[in-house]
Amino acid sequence: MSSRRDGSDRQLALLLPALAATLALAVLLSLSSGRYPLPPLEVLQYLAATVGAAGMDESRQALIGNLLWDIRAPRIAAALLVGAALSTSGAAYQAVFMNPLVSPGLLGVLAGASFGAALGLLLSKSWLLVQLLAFAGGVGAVALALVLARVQQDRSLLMLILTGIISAAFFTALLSIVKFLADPINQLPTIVHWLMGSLAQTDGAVVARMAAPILAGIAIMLVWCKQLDALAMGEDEARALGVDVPRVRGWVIFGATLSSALTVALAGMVGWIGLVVPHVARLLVGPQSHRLLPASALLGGVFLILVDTGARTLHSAELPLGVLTELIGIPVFVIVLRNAQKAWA
Amino acid sequence: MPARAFARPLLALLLLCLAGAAAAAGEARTVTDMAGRTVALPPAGQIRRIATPDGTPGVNAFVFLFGKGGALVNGLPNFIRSQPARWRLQTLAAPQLAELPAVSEPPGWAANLETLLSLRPDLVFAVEAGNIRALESKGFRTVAVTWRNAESIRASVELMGKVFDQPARARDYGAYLDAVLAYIDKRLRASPAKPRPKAVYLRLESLTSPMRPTAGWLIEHAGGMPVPEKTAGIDTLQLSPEQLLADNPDVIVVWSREEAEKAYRDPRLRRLAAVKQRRVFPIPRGFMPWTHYTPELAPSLLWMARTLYPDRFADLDLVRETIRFYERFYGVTLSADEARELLDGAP
Amino acid sequence: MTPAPGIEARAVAFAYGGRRILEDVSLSLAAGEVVSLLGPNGAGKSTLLRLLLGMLRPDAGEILLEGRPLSAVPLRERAGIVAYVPQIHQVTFPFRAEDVVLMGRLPRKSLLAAYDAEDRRLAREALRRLSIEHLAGSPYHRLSGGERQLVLIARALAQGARYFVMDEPVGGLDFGNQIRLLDRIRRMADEGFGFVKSTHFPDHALHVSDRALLLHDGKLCASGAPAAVITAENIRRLYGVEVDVLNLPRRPVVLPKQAAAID
Repeated sequence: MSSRRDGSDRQLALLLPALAATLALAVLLSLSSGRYPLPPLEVLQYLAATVGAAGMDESRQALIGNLLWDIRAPRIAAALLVGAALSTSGAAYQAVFMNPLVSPGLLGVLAGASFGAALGLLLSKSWLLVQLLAFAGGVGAVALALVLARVQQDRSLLMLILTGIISAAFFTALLSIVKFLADPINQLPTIVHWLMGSLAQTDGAVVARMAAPILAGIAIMLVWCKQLDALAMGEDEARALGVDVPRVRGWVIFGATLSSALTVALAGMVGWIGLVVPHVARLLVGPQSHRLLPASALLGGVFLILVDTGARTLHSAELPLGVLTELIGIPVFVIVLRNAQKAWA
Repeated sequence: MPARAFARPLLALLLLCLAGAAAAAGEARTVTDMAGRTVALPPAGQIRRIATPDGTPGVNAFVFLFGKGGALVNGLPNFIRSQPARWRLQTLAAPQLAELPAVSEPPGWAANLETLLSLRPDLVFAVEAGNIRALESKGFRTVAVTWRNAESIRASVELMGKVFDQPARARDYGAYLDAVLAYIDKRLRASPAKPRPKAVYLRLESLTSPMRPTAGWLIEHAGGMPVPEKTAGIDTLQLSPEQLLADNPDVIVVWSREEAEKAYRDPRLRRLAAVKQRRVFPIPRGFMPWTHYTPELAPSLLWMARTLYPDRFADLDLVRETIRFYERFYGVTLSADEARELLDGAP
Repeated sequence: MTPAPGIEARAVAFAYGGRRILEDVSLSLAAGEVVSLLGPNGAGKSTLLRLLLGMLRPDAGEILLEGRPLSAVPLRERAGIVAYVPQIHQVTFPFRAEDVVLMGRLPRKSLLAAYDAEDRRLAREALRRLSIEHLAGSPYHRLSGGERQLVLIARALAQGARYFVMDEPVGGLDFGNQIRLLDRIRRMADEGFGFVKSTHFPDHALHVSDRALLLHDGKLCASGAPAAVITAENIRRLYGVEVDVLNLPRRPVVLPKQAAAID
């Protein structure tokens, strides 16, 4: 009997490396796919030429290099970062709020970041400003939710959810004002399209700038795995187990806000991932956070890389990423719900 | 005795004349607008107050064509007022616009009906179905101008020609447009056939390709091939650097000179033919950007032809043609410098 | 000689939102003791337990943990001495029983350390001690009420705590599980653990407790051996009902009086 338990533990322990391998495969698949016709043989030829093991027409080599490293690779990296950030934030929030139906946008971070980014697009053409304002907007929205809850003198989770809804509604209204002020010929279409979620404009410099803070946000959440499990059982129990509840909540919310706000700066509004992927991950590796959070990150990365590959390959027109993640995420969620161990049902 | 004999016939004649005059004065003419609606209109001379709440700058460009800019009663929306240099031509054609209140704002262009009422327009032009309905129901005399593709521009000119009872002007414009098309066609046929240059109109920031029906028509009729292909019917397309690489346009038209410079510096676009050969150009902007729904479609064709085939149209004096176009059809005089600036996509 | 108390509340008072909840309440718990808190709803039982656990700070008086002021004992060290065993409740996620027990090891782990083989061994040891080792891999939410309560006690054991604070532990359990749980508590106390629990059932106090504290309106009404303090008069004062307390050979039994006929 104990060996059977050890066996399933061993199975679980293998799943994380297996997911990592799947991620590597997804990256390779995505690098080899795209609207530009590039046969795999030519990719091999290119790689050989890069190390000097084979010859290739120089301009062709430069073109393939440009395609792979300037165009496709940054986009794949962005998809990985966004997918991982949103999924990990979703899993962490579900633990903190003891609710399997919450998503990273619960406290308003996505609405706030969207407003910030739209404001940036309205005010100037500098992408740096857009990113800074997206981050500021996301943080601002969460701060508003927290302050409102404190003003109510109620630190309960239900109050936080309520103030989160209020904050999100407020920033959505501000976003409408930005749309109203935007130049309809030049700015508004950019804002609207980008809000639908897209990685089309990804560029290497931006990804390089965002990678560190996003990964930092994810890392911050990963640090509190054990405490998150205790929190998920109940606030009082966690406290009695020595968990500094406000401190853990504060750090996790900060990490989730940091990484989620920046995903909006990178890719606009990409929905459903933060809600669905943690459920799929829980189905695979169980509810313990030290497995669930890394699994969510890996699975989220794989999912978004694959969806984005579809978005940019299926048609000459880019399919909006946010729409695709919803269209695919919803049936996946339905299937997961049927098979999940619904402890809360 | 002779005066009294003529009295009754004279009276009858007088009455007849009066009746005729009265009938002529109240004669209701009707016009079928571009939404298929039949609208009763007063005589053109009695249209003294015109409102263009929907798609203001674009519709204005058509109204200016018929010299009715002075009759406009609504001002320009905020995004235009905040960029006066860019939209200079609108106030040049109708100076009173700077002082007038705006009655609507994009993106919906829904008119503030009370302000509109206070302006007492004789006629209102509208584009969106929702706005048409709203204006109609409030009792405004509304004429619908619907824009779907480049043909809508010609149709809009014809419609306004009927509305303002200036068939000659409408005909003149149509003839000019045909002449431009013929000229380009002839010039292109005269030279040996080459593969048509590929072109795309692009917003660099977001990599979206808007106004595809008009921009596509322009590119095609200037002898180019709009890319990506097989995308008919879609107004705005989201593109990606990879799609651009696959299509490899020879010419890219962008919004401004800044965008053109950015394109040359963008590492993702490095391998594009248009970038390598420095053929990224900003779209000229007159009353509207020249890819939009505006009668400026005509000179836009010339510009596009010259941009796509600089060698074959080397002798085309675009500056002069532009000055003549605005002079002839709009009564607006541009200096050579101003025309050059306009063509360079500045400010 | 009475053993040194592990947990002690000395003349504590607590008020919240202008309302006085506890006043001049003292309590002590030593190893091997089962202390029951009795009182009607709103008497302050839960508040007193939360004060003992350090979840609330008293406005007056002090709480001592093994002779030291509670506030001087760091959170994680506290968890190694006194454990909270809550009533069974709904859980959101499908943790397995041993995952729940493993959480008891949390206070001993540094921030980045993962649970290791030693932690797992101790968790399984705790389950074995309560004879529920066979449930280790089962999803916690699928266990019966009685089994779940045992898992929560196992978690407290895994913490290494000696004193257990329980808030109405029999809540949600069927009659059989209630009795079995009480017996388990008594047996563990005999092994040296200390239990303080709040209860709605005077008979339970009489069944297994060493001492009973009666709380009424935030004040200590009586404190001492259950047989001595659970009297008809005290029951009337606490709950407003008439009972007879019968002195049976094994222990006293509380018998509610026949309901009066409706006129």
